[in-house]
Amino acid sequence: MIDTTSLLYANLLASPLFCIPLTLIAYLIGTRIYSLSGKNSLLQPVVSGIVLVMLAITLLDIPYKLYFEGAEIIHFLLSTATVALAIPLYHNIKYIRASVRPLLLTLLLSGFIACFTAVAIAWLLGASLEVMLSLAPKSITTPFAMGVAESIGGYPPLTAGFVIFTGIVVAVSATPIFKWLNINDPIIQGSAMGMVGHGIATARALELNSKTGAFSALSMGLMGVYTSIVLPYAVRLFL
Amino acid sequence: MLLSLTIIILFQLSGALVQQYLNLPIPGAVIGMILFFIYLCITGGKSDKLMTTGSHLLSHLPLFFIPAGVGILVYTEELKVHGIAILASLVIGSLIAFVLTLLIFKKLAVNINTSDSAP
Repeated sequence: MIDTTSLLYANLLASPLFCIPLTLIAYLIGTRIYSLSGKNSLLQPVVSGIVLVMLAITLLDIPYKLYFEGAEIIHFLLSTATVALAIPLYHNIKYIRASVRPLLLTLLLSGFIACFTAVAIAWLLGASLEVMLSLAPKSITTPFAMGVAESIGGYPPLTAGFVIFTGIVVAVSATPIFKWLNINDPIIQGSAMGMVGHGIATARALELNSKTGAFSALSMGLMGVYTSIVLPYAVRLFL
Repeated sequence: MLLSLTIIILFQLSGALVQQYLNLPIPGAVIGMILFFIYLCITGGKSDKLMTTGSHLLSHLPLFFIPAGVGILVYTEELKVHGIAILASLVIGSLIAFVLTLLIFKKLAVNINTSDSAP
């Protein structure tokens, strides 16, 4: 009797009926904490939302796979929102056309730097080849990165985790670094955020300003295309 | 609202179709973004409802990263073995890349602006 009821609970906990409100509530609490903290970078809703859901499913003993299946509609909307990034791009088209040359030049260098620093630091600290190959595409948005990891011999699920973590690092550090370097131009801010911190940093960039968000979205897409074309060839040169 | 959301999801679908049909290495959602961008340029972005719905969706972008982000939980084993190398690579590597990218763009933007404005 006790077994059947606990099984019923387990089924319910792993269903969309539980996983969707869990995610929404974690996000809402996250946004509340964020505004109460006076918009402290470290307490961005994406960070606290992820941590709260992690805590909840660990305490309730829900396997990640089942949670993800339950919350899949929210993950689906990530692609829908990615499509909607065309809106800030459209609104800022005149700025984009004016900055094409420095943007593309920066992109060429930035893609190389992002891969190189990640692999070099991991190599210095004795990581395995598989880990290094999974780290290389960490600065591009998940669907790009997982495809690249697969084609160069990394481990795609591991890459997905690295990508998310990288995005959080950039999103959290962005405004303190802008202050430190005294960079106030939304074009430069947004481009660097998108190039190094892909979609998660783009979410943060949109919060700063529509222009910052537009350049971040554009740079994220360009960096994804650039890295996924060049990285497989670069890896073949070295291995 | 519902019509606008449907239109955006149809672009998402078209992106996925183009990606599969042409077997492109670019994710379907990014192709969908490009197609939607072209559509906005052609129509002149006149539909206020479409813009409002899209912007509303974007204002909650962080929410949509949560299900994938929680997946970091799964990799605690790898983190135990290579933890320090991975953390240093992700944190220090990303910060160096971010700072250098900002400085490079700043330098290039200044150079290009001054060379353009020079007589």
